[in-house]
Amino acid sequence: MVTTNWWLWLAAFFTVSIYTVAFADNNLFRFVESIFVGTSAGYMVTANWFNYIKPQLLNVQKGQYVLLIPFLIGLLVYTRYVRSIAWVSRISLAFTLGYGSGFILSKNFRPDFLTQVIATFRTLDTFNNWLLVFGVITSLTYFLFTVEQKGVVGYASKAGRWVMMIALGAAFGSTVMARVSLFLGRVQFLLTEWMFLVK
Amino acid sequence: MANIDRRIIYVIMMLAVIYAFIKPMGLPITVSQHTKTAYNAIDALPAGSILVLGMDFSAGGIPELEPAGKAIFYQCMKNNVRVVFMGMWVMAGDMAERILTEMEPLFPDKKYGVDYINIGYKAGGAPMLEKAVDDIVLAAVGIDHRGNALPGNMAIMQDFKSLKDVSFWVCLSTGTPGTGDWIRIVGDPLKIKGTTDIVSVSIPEQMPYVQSGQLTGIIQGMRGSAEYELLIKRPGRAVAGMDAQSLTHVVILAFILLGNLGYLVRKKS
Repeated sequence: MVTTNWWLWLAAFFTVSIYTVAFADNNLFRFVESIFVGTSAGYMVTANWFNYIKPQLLNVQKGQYVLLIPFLIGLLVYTRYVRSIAWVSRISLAFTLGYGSGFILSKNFRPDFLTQVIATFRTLDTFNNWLLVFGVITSLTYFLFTVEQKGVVGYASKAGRWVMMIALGAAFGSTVMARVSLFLGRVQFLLTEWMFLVK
Repeated sequence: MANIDRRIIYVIMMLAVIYAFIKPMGLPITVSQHTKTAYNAIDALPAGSILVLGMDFSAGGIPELEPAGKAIFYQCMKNNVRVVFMGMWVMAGDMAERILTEMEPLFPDKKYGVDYINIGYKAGGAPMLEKAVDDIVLAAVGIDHRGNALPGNMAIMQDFKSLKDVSFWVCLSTGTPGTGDWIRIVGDPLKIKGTTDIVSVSIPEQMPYVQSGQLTGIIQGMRGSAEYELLIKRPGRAVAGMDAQSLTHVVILAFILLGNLGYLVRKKS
């Protein structure tokens, strides 16, 4: 028993075709990959048009002319196509970079640095707290490049390297789990919605 | 053993996954403290309060994140907590609609615009979120995902003028922009508690925020979604996928052992 919904057939075809690359590179995979890339780009343009650009243009039409300023700054990017005035495109990039840097500096310092540092000041009453403080101190010691790595500093540095290797191992394990989940999602779709083999 | 053809590994993995789906083994799933903390925080929200579901993922995140999204929406509707879907990722609106398509028939007494709303994707990433802290209608450029004008005459918008009116936020995230932005712009400065349902690959990156209390628990990938489904007593796709995930991990471990054994044998000879 297989579904009669041709949209699901199409989805199943694309899923199976994409996975054929696991066995060998082939034209079917490249064909499906190209369709995927094209569809994604088209989706992005459409979503941005209907969710953002069109409503904003309507707001301009209603008299919010101030919105034309960022619109014009954005348009300057296209001067790159005319060599003699290509330098003008840097204005919009400079604006984006300047705004982005200022935004990140003003927003990230407290939550990503101060609060994180404060969170390492712990009462050493549990094993986990000891482990956390040990991990922080030894990992930081590994990056002390102005002190010769011998004696106590050397041992701490080595321990820090082990701590980081364990952390990287955990991160890699999580990555594997994530990739497996993606595969499971597609197999689940094929078995459940397409083939009705699983309820 | 050190040179097993990768295609053999793929076939064995595929067979293991198919077997686990067709013949579920019913391996026990224990609920972690992190998921329980997130669940309890949402369960404690008073009726009428507003929870924002940040749909910061695309189709690739569906297997891991969507089950928890559905479970949280289900929990909120049961507890009469209002839900706002919004997102910084381009597929945010459609991801929310997928959840609503399945959930709306379960709650015929709940109305769009009264009990929940899908503001959808809005461009700009973190600066858009910053704007939503001051004025949600401005940030949403006056339109929701279904094309309705905002605030219009939608009851939920009378109480939801900005992110300051939110009682709790949950970011369903596969990367950037995502959880970090919610912490930096909403959680920390406004002191509004929140949590994240994150894809497995990003768990280590987010754990320091859990340690520091900036996140109220964490729902970790498909496993976390399965735990959440169990907590709301409505096992779904994530629970169904756990047997397959466990079996796949066993297969991977077996191949790692075999590969290392092969390497040692070759080194000796």
